[in-house]
Amino acid sequence: MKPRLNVLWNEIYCKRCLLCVEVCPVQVLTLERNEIEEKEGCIRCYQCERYCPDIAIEVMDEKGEK
Amino acid sequence: MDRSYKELLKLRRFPHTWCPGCGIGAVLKNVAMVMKELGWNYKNTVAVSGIGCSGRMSGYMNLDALHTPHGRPLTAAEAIKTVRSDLNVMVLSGDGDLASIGGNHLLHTSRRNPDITVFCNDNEIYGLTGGQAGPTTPQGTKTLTSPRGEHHSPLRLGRILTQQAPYFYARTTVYHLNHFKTCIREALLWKGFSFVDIISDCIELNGRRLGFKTAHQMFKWFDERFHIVEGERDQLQEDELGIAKAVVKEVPRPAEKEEVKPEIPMEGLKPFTLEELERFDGQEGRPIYMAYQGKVYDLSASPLFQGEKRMRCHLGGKDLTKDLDIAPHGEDLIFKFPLVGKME
Amino acid sequence: MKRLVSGNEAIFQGAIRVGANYFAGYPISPTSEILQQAALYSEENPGFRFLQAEDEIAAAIATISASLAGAKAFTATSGPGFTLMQEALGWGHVVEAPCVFVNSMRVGPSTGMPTQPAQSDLLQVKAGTAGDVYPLAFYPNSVEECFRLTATAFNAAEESLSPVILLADAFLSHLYELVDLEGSTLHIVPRTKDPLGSGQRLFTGAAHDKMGNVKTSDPVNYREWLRELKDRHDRVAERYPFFEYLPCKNSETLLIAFGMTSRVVLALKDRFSIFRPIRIYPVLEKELEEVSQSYRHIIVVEGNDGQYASWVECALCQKVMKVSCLGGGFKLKWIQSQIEDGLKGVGR
Repeated sequence: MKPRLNVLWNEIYCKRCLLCVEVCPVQVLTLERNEIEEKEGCIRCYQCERYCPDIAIEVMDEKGEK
Repeated sequence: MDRSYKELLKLRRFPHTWCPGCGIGAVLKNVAMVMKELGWNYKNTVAVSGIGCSGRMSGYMNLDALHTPHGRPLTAAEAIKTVRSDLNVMVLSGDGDLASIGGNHLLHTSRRNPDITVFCNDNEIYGLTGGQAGPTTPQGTKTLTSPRGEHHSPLRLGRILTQQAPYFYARTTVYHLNHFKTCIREALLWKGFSFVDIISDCIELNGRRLGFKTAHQMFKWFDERFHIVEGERDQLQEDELGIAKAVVKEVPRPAEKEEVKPEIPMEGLKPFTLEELERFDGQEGRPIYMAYQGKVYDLSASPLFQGEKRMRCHLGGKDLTKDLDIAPHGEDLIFKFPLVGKME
Repeated sequence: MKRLVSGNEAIFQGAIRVGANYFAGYPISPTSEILQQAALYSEENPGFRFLQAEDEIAAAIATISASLAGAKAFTATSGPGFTLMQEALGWGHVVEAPCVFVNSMRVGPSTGMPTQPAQSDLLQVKAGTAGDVYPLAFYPNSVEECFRLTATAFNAAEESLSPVILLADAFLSHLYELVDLEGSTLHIVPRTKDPLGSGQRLFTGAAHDKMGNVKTSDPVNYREWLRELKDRHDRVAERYPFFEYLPCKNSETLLIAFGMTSRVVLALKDRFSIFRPIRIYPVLEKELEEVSQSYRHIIVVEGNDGQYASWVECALCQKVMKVSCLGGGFKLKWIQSQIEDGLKGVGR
């Protein structure tokens, strides 16, 4: 697994419903090769975490901690 | 971000059983969040579920949870609350379970107003069985059991549950998250029967047939269909999200009426002996007299003492004090008749 | 002190004496009196909770839920109501809720003859709900026994962690007899199951393992669970092998009757031996086998078309004669003539 920038992603809980990808206001999340990938530019709005029905996404704070 | 709500969920059973994008996961998560904020845990809370996709919710909570037969979570919750008033009882179920097979229980449990909170995952479809029309499916929707569009108009839970005070009915969606959490919190804190109608998405078995490709597209559809209304409301229109509530104003009980028995002076009344009384038995044109508690009444006018049809006990010229104790009527019937004397 | 008590009142008093503190019910002949007494009792005793439910389904669910919440709960109904309660009865077995269902039988099927007694719900007791269950069922035949067996039913429920059924009939419910309820002592089994709000358990009607994890496609787990349920019920049933046997020296014929019919055929005790099962289900196979050995003819007299007789036939592996008192007619003369005809037919 690649190192994460801001968004922690739980591969086992995730069902790939793509809600996080679609709610992201700056579109930094994408599904590639069945994995949620993160690009640069997260504004840490927590929308993906709040909308994830599977508790599969967690956004780290500025210090890079949970 | 506070993630301590996770201790209320049985994470060892995750990922949960629902389809990708299903709204039930959001209901579970947000209810757990508000519960955590309120300090509710397994020692003071019980969750009750029915059957269906949403019925699995209670099983993912770190609580003593009940998974009842189809349609019965409300009755079960009420019974638990009755026996254990110290417990917080909440029902996590769906629209088919609560409004269709459990419709009768919904009417009567809300009428009896126990202090329970109901979260209804209202996805307008029977999801677990593959997508049949449910009680809240909008008219015209194509489903497996309404292949040319649902014929009947849906059950309007908002109207049914706001018929008579006290009531608490909130409508929200899994998309309007802040509003959703406010509704959960208010409902959990409401004393009495509170019902949260959560418009939720069933993307796999309803949304795709409706033409949506992802759960997010359904969320946008909810945003088009509904708008949030603020403030205190008595009723909600069908396109409104908000909270409708009403309490009963305590009406002071009317003071119980004291029975006033007629006080009749005993002086100056004609005295009768029992032998004399017996002569007045209604035969041969004589009047009918009867004694009651030392007083003699003229019962000639009573229809029960006339002719062949007179009833068993209604014979003239007797002391009726004892008979009246076992009579199906009260003594007030006697006071209507004229007083003619007293017993020796 | 002895006083006149009806069967219904004896059942209610028995429940109170054994510590019942929850009743849910729906009015139905002939057990409405139990509901009424519970309503009145709850007004006077706040510790006793009462629910007049919207239907029997709700009444049964409430009874089981109250039991899980920690109450000693019971409900009372009759045939058609019992049919509605079957769903909850099955659930009660799976979630292991100790409680008591009183079923005072009347003539069925459906509405049938609401004021006439019958004994026709035996098969419903055994096989009314979906799947395999092994409910314990007791059937008194006097007011005094109504009182004692209600207590027994509650105790057996606590021991078997399941709903236990107390059978009666419309005759027995409305039968008045002189009994001394206050003076009799009862054995009480206390609750051992932790009430709700003390753990993180899941009480589910779906097949599950011991941890409460739902296992809906695991045959091995299901078989284990069912065997355990059956073993537990068999163990408890062995503690209550209740029956009454009145041997008659010169008789080659054994009459089997229970409940109200046993009161009727008691008049024939000088001519026939009489066996009265009190624990109706599980069937008293061992006892029946022992008793029946010395008799040429076995006649089951019951208020249905051979429901118990079919169990006796299974237990003894032989055909038995049936006298079916149908439609509420439990007349001694008629029963006697049926017995004689039957015996003539087989060449006495």
